[in-house]
Amino acid sequence: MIVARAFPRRAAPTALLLLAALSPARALADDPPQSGGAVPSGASGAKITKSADPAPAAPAGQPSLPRPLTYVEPGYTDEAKAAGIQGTVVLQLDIGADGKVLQATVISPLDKGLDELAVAAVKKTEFSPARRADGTAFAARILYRYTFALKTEVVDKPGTPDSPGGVAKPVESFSGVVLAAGGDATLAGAKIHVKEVGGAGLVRDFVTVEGGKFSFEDLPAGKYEVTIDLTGFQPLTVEEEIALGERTEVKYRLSTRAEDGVIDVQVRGNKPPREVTKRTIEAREIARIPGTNGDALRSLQNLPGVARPPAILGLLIVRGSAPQDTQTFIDGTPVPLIYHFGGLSSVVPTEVLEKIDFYPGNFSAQFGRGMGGIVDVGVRAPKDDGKLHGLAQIDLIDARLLVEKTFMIGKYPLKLLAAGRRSWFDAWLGPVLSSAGGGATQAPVYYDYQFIAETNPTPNASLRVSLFGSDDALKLLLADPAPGEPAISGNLGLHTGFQRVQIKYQNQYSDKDALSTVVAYGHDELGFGLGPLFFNLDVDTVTGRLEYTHRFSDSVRFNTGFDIYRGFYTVAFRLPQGPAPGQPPNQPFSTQQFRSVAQDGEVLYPSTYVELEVTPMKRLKLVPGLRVDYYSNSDSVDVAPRVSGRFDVVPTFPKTSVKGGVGLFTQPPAFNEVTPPLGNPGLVSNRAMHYSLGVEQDLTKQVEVSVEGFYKQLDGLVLTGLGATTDIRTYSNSGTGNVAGAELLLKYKPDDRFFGWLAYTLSRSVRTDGPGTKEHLTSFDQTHNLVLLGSYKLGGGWEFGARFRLVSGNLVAPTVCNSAAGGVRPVFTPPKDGAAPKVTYVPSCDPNRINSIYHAPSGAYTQIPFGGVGSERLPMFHSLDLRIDKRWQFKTWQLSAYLDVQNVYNNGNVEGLQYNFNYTSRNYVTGIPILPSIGLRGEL
Amino acid sequence: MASRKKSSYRRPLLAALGLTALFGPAAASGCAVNFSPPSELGALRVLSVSVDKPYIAPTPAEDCAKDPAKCTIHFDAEVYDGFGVQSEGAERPINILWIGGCFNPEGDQYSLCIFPLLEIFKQAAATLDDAVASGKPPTFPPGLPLGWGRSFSMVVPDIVSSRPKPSFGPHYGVGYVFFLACAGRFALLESNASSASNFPIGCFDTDTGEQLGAESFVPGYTQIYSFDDGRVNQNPTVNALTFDGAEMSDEPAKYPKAAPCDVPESDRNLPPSCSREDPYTACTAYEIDVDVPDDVSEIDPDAKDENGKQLREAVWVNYYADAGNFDSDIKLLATAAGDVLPERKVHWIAPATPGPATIWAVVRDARGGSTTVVRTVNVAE
Repeated sequence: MIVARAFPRRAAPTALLLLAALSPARALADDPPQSGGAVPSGASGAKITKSADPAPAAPAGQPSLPRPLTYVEPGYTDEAKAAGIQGTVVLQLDIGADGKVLQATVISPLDKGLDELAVAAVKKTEFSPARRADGTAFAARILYRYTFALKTEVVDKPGTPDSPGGVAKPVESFSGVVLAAGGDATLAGAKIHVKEVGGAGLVRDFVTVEGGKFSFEDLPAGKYEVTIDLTGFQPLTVEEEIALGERTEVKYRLSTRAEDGVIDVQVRGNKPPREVTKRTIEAREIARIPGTNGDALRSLQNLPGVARPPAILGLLIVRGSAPQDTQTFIDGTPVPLIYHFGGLSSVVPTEVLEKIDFYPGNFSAQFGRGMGGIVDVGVRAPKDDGKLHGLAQIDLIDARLLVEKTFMIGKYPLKLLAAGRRSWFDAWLGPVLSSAGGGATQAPVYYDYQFIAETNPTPNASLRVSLFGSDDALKLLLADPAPGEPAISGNLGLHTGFQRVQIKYQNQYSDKDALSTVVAYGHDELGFGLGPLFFNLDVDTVTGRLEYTHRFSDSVRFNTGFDIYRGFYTVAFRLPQGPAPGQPPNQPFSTQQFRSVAQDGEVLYPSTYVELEVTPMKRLKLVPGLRVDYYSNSDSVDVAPRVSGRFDVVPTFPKTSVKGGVGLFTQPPAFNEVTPPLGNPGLVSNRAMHYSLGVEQDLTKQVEVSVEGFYKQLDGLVLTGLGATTDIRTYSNSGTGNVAGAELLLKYKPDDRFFGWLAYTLSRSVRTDGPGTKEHLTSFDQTHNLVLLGSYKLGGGWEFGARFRLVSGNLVAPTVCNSAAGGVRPVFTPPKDGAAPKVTYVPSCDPNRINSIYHAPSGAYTQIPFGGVGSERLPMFHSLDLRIDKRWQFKTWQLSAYLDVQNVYNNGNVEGLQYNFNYTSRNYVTGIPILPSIGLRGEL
Repeated sequence: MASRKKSSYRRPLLAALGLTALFGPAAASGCAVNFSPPSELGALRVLSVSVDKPYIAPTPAEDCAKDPAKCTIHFDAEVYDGFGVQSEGAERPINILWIGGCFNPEGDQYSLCIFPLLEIFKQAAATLDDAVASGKPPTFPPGLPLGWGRSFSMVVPDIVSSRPKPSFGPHYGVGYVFFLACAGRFALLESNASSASNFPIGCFDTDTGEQLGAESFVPGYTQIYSFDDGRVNQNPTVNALTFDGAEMSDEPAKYPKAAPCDVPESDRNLPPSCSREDPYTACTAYEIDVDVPDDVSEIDPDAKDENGKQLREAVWVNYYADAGNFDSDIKLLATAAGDVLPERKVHWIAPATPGPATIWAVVRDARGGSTTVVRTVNVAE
């Protein structure tokens, strides 16, 4: 937002404003700067902002943001003076760990050369670096503001009897100070707009000066509506009453505004300081990425290393690993799923997210039990400004509500948040299904909820109790059996859900010691029924994580922790025997012999880890770690060493960093694989070695690129095979595989107007189903995955975004060959009657090939696959998504609306194949056609 | 001025997006021709293979020798050559070869029976060629489980006791019988003979020697079970097939009559989502139903739901017709919970051409039982 407003007469316009999201600097009083210089004034009368006072140092043990140590006069161009240009230049500063300004980007400009003056001045300004609670300096990004104002001549008013000297002395009737919520940081530069309610409708404006101070003089008695507005903060509107002859002093606190995306919700790569890769998507980006409906977790699918999931499946496929290899957490507690039905939305709404830590590989020793990636969803603390906040949103899929408020209980804050969401598309989907013959008895419904109570028992400690959960349910009556599975008919039901009660405690005991712990009790449910078949799984879980951190010195930090998962499960199912790998999966599902099982049991997965963060030299960081896991179901112990590192080849702009890591990651066998009678004992963990090496490079101040190569060597993968008797499967650790790839991220860092990036992943994921078998691509292999997206603020509350995706097609095992593909295939003729063996070539697609065999008991046809797993790649996926947002800002609330259109040019993206009843011909199954969705949201 | 400039591109943009939102879904709906439904008989088809004993009690071999009928299973295939009718005006001579004798393959995988059947086939190949050439049934080498024609009988001794008793569930055995319906001669497919992932026997034109496709060749298999507790499974009982509520008779004089529907075949398989008028509005839709007793589905002894309630076998019906169209050609009659569904009628639209139209109703249960009813409708001028 550009602030360019003439200052009121006699208001002492100030200058420098430090805007920091968490602890804005306190500004100086309207006095000469401490350097001793007078208030700088141009010869023509232009008055320049004064220097900012260094922000107060944060209390020991508290983190702090950068503070200016010096002030550099920016000057004033003649053109600007001649044109009467006044206003504010807001800069976004990247300040390194050494306090140097690495980059200054104008995000709220002025004209006539003032931007250049501001940038030049701030680059000469010295800052103290941001520091963590332990005192470690780190690079940070802040907003910084110069306010340019032309000096105004004071015009003396005619004297009054009681004003000596003939100049009327104003009466200060209304004054106060504006502060940032959650601290004592004062906010200079905030616009105070005062409007008389009733009466003559008197209007006055003021801009807060150093110290966040403001004052209005000679305000007549009466009621006034006071609006305080400052870029980066939520506007505040209150009503004040000025009494006759009295002086009113107030103190206002402004909350940071998430929409301006300063620091709010982050999706990033590995969490510093233990990362190999760090990627950040800010709140504004998450909310505006086209095709995601503003869902934070769906935005993950636009990052390098994350595959496009098959249509309507909410799967996370990370670096060629199976979806079940990636673990998901909410605030450090494992949860079984993060997406509702079909990936429509995530189980935690974006509004309550603080951050998403996404680890595509080579993650820290604090995480285990997974060979793929880690997604840890952080839930934010309730707003603590003492005001009631709320949000209501509705779109075509669901409606959501959120309320939050902080109370003071004695000297302790009690921060409360309650949020809930329920889908309502059952209201329109149910009739649609019924009219289509689906006979829906309960259309798909999902809901999720979050309740949070948080307090700070000491300034350095926080205690949070959370209750959150999710539930999805669906029931249908299939009156017409599927032709291929005739016995599967009747009632179809699906239910998934989880609940968690969680207690989280964090304490920064000193600048060297910190403790973090989270424990949770939970209940998971998974069930489905289909005609005579059913599967029900109930799991009660107790999970806990305790981590202690000690800083030995500036260059050595030690982390150690204990992590436990305890599960009590009850499982009951009646399902057909599945075909074994290597056997044609072509027997009608519903006519196989069914197996009924009901059993309960428990698993215990305790683990411990140690990790060092070593900085042997300023530009090098190494993080060696060791994790030890015990798995009760396989009665095995895994020791997993890991190490990652980063080296800043060029530590200053244009910065160049090299990063890499190597480590062992293990994953226990699933309970059905290792628990008799479903499986067999004697299994050990699936294993993966992760290797990665990459480089990050600043191209310009606003554009950065990172390239990373990765390789995963998989072995000991649990596979199933035929058992000694026909009803039992045997499992063995005989599978192997590997995933190799490279990721590219070319990113334009978000500024006031634009954000965008290009993400490209090249990968190959293969498996071998046992010794002597042929290596094959996995079904989630995607050779190419390109995402290009951007969003631009048009002004006036409008924002427009676009996303284009180009992704390799899905892999299938076709039953009918692709006659359009052409080509030939070799046919081997064995030696016969003394003749030598020979190889002849015939058309790849034989029109007379026997693609199926009739199964008389069911009247269906059993397919005979033409190729093996992943033998045909479907046509490439490409799609353009567009989104437009409009926000209306009112005095006490704001309203926003969006239109999000997926697949704008209605490309018939191929998601799979369908066949006719006897598999003599095939068609492509296409995915989502052009799909517009709209949403409306109000925020208090 | 600035705001006016902005609106100059915002409005068209919004208008375009609004139009997209309104009309996009309509534009996305396809008008491609659907696959032909299974009920349409444009090729050689095996419509059903009825087995007199879907479950056969395990009987010692010596008892079978004394009383072969006790251990003999009869198979009857219902075959229709729609391709012959459409291309040549009449059904072609169809040769049907049966190959049995595969019991308890590993993992109950039918595909593991293919190599054994191939060896049997090789032994009979020459005899088969003679039979096709002469039009007379072949004389198979003794001891081979082979059959010829629309019916086949096979002795099934005890196939349970030789199999290890599973750790849970019933003790059972399974047997597979293959049948090959061909409008030509049978021959080994050399390129497929070494691969378990391809079917190794093909059907070839007796005149040209060219391999025939799915319109002239149907390989298939059926399976029978035997349980140590001697349980049986009856084929589902069908009281009647009804036409507009009246029982359809198998006496020509009592065939029901239908009015022709003057909609060309090319317009009959367009999907309902296509924006067009219903072509059948001027045609009469006749209700077809199967009358089954309330206890049509038998108890499945091993099946219980999650609450322990006893389940029964699901029962459904497949419809086929050599002329006309069904709105739905498969219908569930009874659920696994044992409920006979009240709404199970389908509708049949007569063809445009007058003449007799044959309707097949094959009622199947989920345990391998089936009953086939064939009736005729006279489509009047």
